[in-house]
Amino acid sequence: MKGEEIMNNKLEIDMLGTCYITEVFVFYDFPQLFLCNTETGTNILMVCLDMNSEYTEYMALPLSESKLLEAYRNRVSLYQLYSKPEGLLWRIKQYHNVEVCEATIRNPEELTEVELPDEDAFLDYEFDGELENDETYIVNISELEKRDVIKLSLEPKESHVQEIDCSSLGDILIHFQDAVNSIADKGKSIKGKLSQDTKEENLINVVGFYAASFGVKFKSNKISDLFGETTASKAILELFELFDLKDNKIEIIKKLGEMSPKAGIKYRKFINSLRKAELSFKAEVATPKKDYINIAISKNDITKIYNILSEHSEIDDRTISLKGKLVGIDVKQNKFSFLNEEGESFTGKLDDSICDSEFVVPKDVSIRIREQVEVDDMTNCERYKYILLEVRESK
Amino acid sequence: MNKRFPVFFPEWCPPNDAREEAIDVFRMTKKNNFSSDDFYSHVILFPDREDFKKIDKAYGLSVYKDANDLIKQRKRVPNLRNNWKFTAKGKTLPDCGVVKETPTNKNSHITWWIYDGAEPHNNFSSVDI
Repeated sequence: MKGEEIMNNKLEIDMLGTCYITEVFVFYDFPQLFLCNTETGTNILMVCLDMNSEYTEYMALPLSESKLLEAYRNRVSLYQLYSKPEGLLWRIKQYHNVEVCEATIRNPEELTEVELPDEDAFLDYEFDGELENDETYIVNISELEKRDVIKLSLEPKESHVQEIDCSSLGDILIHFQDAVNSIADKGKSIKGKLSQDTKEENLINVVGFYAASFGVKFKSNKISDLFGETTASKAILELFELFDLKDNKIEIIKKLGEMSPKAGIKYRKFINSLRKAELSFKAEVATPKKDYINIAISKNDITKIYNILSEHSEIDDRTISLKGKLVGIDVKQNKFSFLNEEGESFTGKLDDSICDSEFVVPKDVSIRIREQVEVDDMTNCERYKYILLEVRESK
Repeated sequence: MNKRFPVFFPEWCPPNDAREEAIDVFRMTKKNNFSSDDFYSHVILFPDREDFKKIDKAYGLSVYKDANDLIKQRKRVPNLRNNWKFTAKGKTLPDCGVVKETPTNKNSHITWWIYDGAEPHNNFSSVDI
């Protein structure tokens, strides 16, 4: 049982906060064995111990993702889970006419058989029709928590290997965040440095891992506004729409052409991190506004995308107009120096078409320059080059 | 008897695809000599509890087609093993309400929404399983 029906339900517990019910394993007149997620992303397995006219009692067991995975696969019994908890074990008392449940710490060594499931009882998890409806699930979580939710299932060597080396994962996470930031930075900072605002508005947190080849779950740091959009929603969707183009060269170039050159570079870096790790991946994205994307990209697709991005350097090339002060010209060495109105410095070469012109410096002017961004494939370092195309007097 | 649901049922409950059908089912009971008390839905028994009122299943009774599912659930949940030790077998007669298959983990769980004033326990008898 999953989806809208169950996601509307939650328990307020004094020591644990709001616990959203995400899955029900035993429903008998009401949920009796179920999984909750706290606001901080902790999984809690709840089992009903007793119910009378006054209150219902549960045993609440916080579970790590790996322990939950073991439980899903019946590698550990419910008895073992509750009798040997990884951390604290809580006894929850819910008075029927009181909104907030009371929690007290229960010493597992003092548990009696009456409080525990049978020794041979397992979670016996199987996907049923409702559980397969992942779209409903992820969209509801996103709407409920007012955060963008991303599930990235990385498949090392296109297999179901459930491990990944640290440096590859670190690389992927860094470049994923960079790609989102750069797409979001459209029209803001001209040069390479991202503004602090952009970084904060588009911060994405890893909130856990899940059962997949190697599943990483992300949520946006910011919550949505009245219209159901977080400050990161747009950039996240644009990134995954780019992925969805796969190796459609024309569409990739067109889409990147609408973004800042940084976006193309960072996208290529992200793709490169996946390529180097020999990964394929599946991704699901949901926003609080109920946008939903579900894509699968093969290792072969990743190589093709990388080749397109590497071959077509024009996507890292753009012409920009700036206002500011021309502060230096060296006609002998064909060099210029310019400060824009924000005080950013631009230095580079003069285009052949203007190297014989006369210049007055310092002077307030409008200029047109070509910005080229090169990336070293080995070090991933970026280098910005500028060519001065035109100088006009400021009006 | 009028085939009407209690007035406090929300308009989305029971779901549109629930139907009248006589199916042989099992239900856990608290006593061997069970009574109508063992056949009230969660929402009827605990009207103050708000937490599960958005679940349509909580307005109905849980029954299973397969008795093995009852045994399995008792093993997993101490409340069911300790407090719902006994079993009754009967039919979901059309006069009493509507049913819908509502499995969890592919089990034989059925939700049975009872008409106002119906007495479903009269169609059940205790069994040993």
